Amino acid sequence: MIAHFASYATFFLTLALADGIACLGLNLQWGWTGLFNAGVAGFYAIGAYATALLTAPAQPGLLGGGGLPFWVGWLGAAVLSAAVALAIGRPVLRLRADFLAIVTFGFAVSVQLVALNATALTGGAFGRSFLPHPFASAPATLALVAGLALLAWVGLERLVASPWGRALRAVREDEGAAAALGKNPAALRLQSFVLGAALIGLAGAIRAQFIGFVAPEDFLPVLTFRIWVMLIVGGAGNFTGALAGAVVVSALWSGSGAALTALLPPAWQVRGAAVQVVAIGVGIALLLLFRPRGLVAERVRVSRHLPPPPGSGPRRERGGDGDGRRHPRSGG
Amino acid sequence: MTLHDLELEEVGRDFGAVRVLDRVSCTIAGGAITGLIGPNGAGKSTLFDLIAGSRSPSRGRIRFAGRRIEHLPPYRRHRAGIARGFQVARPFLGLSVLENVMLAAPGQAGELFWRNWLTPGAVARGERAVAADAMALLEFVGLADLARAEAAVLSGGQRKLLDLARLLLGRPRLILLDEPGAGVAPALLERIMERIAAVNRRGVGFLIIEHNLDLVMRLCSRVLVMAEGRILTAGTAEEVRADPRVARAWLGP
Repeated sequence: MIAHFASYATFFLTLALADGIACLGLNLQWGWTGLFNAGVAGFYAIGAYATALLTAPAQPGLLGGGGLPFWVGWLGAAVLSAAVALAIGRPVLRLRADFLAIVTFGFAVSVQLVALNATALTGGAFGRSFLPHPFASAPATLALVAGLALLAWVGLERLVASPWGRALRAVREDEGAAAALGKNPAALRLQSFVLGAALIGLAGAIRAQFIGFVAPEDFLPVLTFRIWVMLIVGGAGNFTGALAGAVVVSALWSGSGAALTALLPPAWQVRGAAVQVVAIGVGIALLLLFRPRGLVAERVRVSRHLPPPPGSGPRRERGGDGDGRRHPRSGG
Repeated sequence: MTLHDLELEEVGRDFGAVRVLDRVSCTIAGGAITGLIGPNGAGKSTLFDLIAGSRSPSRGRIRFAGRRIEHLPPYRRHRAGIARGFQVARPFLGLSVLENVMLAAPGQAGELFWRNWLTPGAVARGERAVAADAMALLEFVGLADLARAEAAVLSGGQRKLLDLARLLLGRPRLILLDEPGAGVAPALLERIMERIAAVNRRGVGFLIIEHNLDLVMRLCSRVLVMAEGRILTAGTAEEVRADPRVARAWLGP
């Protein structure tokens, strides 16, 4: 029983932390830069297929199948995802903010359709399988993924608690004023978008490698939605919150499924999936009702090279001070 | 002709069929305080937009320190030495007062993202230097006590002072101020005017849009008068005040 639970916990945490890495990337894009990436699933898919092509063994009738070590696949996934973000971001990030949402959503849908139809590359609807596991033992894999999540968290915390993060936040709040002070908004946004996409691509690769299999149905828009929910529940603008949100929402997602299977009378089991969606929705609504800025709120101080202000804790709630430029925050 | 003259040559701007600025030509002398006055809708703020780069001119050339700048984006003009304040001060409300000022420092090592991973020591040293400069400027405008507070707590007048401190940190050669006296209490206005004069003594030029003519008369060595998208006249404060065309432009014929 205990062994069974431990093995499930390992499985659960590995996947939750992979999502957490994606959530960290999305937090850089949205929480710090205000970029509405509606195509998280697309970058996830790019990462997953990249590692599949690089690390899976050669199979007749399929391209790729490099049989390379897993870390080459993960590195390739992050680099490819970043390159795609660069190609999308360079033209789009000069435009108004709403265009990014439209373009990234369209991008994610296209990627999913390509995955479904470019059979020689992706295996079509059957997907690609036999991705080698990073390590034979699941706890070792969990340790690796946890280490990567920690590395990403530390790296991002250091990255944003700096003049770069300050400029990013200024661009998010008032692009015109930031440009008038010598900041290049398009370049800052592009850097944030590309770095965030690299992390999302890495998360896709980790997930695919761990499950050993990728298929197009894993990358439907609901994946984008799930990562967004994690970020909002955790607290947009805070990397600790992003990781916490990933674990809590994953628990809510799978916990509600398990609870319903155990609790619902047999006659209702068929409707379990629908009830689960309701349960998840109610759970998220309750969380946001009691913690409108997420589990961990955003901080006021930016640069870590400055002393923290006296009595600084989480950011205060502010009433509307008539400034329509403020970053829209769900629940704020 | 001094080093940091701003020269406008036949500069114009249309919004659709509306000609907001007709051919404006003038030279704003480097290191001087120049006033820009005119009735509402004369095109003063649009002229600021064209100089600072937040809009591009439909025609004409703009030179600063002898260099063509009309094609440069706003952030490059700031780096070229032109700092622009807004009619309604625009502090970053989510940042502290101190970080609002520090933001404006040019060429910070820590603004290149990879340096925060690769050379954190250099970034930290840069931050200490910029923080010291920013604190000195906050002392100068009288906001040092509020340095650590969130900018959102500042009043309208204090926001104007913060804006001034922020403009000064970039070590600009020319500062564009859009109605520094608007909505500011008399005592605070005195302080702002004092500070402008003090900065000017160090050789920094100003171009100031202002409706408060007393302020213009006291500060500006030269005044440009705009009406209906062109320069109506220019001269010393007394000359401009005596010009009957100026009164007509304000009061109608």
